[in-house]
Amino acid sequence: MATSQAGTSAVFRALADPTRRAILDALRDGGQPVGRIADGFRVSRPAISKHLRVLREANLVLVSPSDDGRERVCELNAAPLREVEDWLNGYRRFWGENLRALKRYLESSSRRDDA
Amino acid sequence: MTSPPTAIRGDIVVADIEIAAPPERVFRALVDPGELGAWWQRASVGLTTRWTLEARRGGAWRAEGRDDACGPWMLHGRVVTFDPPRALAYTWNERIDPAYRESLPVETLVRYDLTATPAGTRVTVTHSGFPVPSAIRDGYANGWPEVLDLLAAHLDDLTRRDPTTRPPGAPDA
Repeated sequence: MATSQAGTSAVFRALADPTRRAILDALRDGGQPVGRIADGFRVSRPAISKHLRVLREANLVLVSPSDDGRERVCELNAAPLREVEDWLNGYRRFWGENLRALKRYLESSSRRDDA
Repeated sequence: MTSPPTAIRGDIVVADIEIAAPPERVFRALVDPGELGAWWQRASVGLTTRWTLEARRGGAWRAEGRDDACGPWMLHGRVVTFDPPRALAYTWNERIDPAYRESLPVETLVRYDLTATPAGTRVTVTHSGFPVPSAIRDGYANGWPEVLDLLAAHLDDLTRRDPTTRPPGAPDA
């Protein structure tokens, strides 16, 4: 399988938490102010801030000031999700090869005689 | 030999194949540690594996190996479905040398479904529980064009920076 890039580890750790995945889900249709994201969860604001920090470190979320400068707006950054797709493709290749190996093993002439 | 179809549906990886052997025989190859050591990941270069597996619901399993692609690795989990010769499922945890590849940070689930066919057995593997946000799971099906543009640009950029990176659809290295 391909060598991991430095950011992949941060992306996967970020995605491993269900609250963080839910934050990304909330952003998929467009940017949201931090406050509105926090309102959508029964988790404390400091906890949401911590999750957003992990997501920013993974480059999954970009934060910028709103037009009036009063709020911080979070947006989903899709580029790291490409690594997730590559990662899933790695498992797809693994299972394809693994099943072929099982087939070769069971269909080899010495195995055919087994009950 | 034609490739078995494999697919990603959202957060699930599915692969299947038809094998000219009866389901009971196939099931045995999935749970017997001696047999597993003989076929598991046999496509890899310079591979060794050691398996233990308690063939019952709740049983523990463990595989340790080393190959040229991934270096030393370890997989382990518990059997959650044991229904010979129809179905086998176990949890999947992995530890892989980070110099080669990132390990899955969460426990996932692997399920084998075996169906008798005129030629033998159809084996379907479903590997599920990947931590995938809905932006990946649903994005392509919903035709999320901005994501596709971003991903295409990201991939082009990757290819320019690292010529060994292959676009999807190209033969595996």
